[in-house]
Amino acid sequence: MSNEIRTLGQKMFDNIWFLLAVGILVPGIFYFAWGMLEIYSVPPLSDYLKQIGLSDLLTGGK
Amino acid sequence: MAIFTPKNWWKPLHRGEKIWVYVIIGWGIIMTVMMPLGHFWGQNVSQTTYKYKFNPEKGINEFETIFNNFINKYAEKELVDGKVVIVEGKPKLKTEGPSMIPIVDASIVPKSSDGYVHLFLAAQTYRFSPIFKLERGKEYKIHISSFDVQHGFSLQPLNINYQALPGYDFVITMKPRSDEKLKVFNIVCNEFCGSSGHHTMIGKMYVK
Repeated sequence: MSNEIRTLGQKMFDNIWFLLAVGILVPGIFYFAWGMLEIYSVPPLSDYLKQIGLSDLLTGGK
Repeated sequence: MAIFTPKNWWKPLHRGEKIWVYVIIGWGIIMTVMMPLGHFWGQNVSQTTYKYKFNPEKGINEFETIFNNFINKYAEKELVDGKVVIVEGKPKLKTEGPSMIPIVDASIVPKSSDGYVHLFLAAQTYRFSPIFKLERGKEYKIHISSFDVQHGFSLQPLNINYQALPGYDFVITMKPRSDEKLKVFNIVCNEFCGSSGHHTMIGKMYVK
């Protein structure tokens, strides 16, 4: 076993609870939270078509 | 059980291991940067996404309503002696192929207030509808969606790839190049959508 001083990075990555938190938080924020935000902020097609003057395509059409 | 790291195990990295770590980090950065580079300089054109609802009263979703109206308005009709053929009270559409896909000449579709010609393309098991006739040098906004399951939209031989998802309308802005010699482009479904017809699901686009 070595008596050398461990670097901060080494101490961080030896801490399994820190690794667990990072492993949950990073994908949780970047994939899940950001992803859900993106999906819920998709604008409705009907509003876009009304904006560009194509609202006549929205009625009837069966 | 060795879950917890022993306290004083650290030794400085061996030179070979250091090189390996730097190579891995460098390659990881290169791969990460390739993604936005591909977005800005890749062949795929930009797209905007919109969502639409299912109308329970009509039993149809909004995109299908829009698509049906678009086809009724702009699809080519069968003519006999210069008159439109009427079958069961509706004009008979000109179709192509065994799947009887209607044809839309984009030159008759007027520009919307945003200055673009908007075209609507639907993917469904197992066909792409309609067949568009586009003009070189003219810009179009093509709305792509699916009536049923997830389909792929792959414009060949350009290899421009998108997805057609039910509930979402992807609008791509496209301009057939003036120097483009090809007159027929195929649309291939590159997302498995069913065992009985996915491999035959091929659409077309003409460029005149």
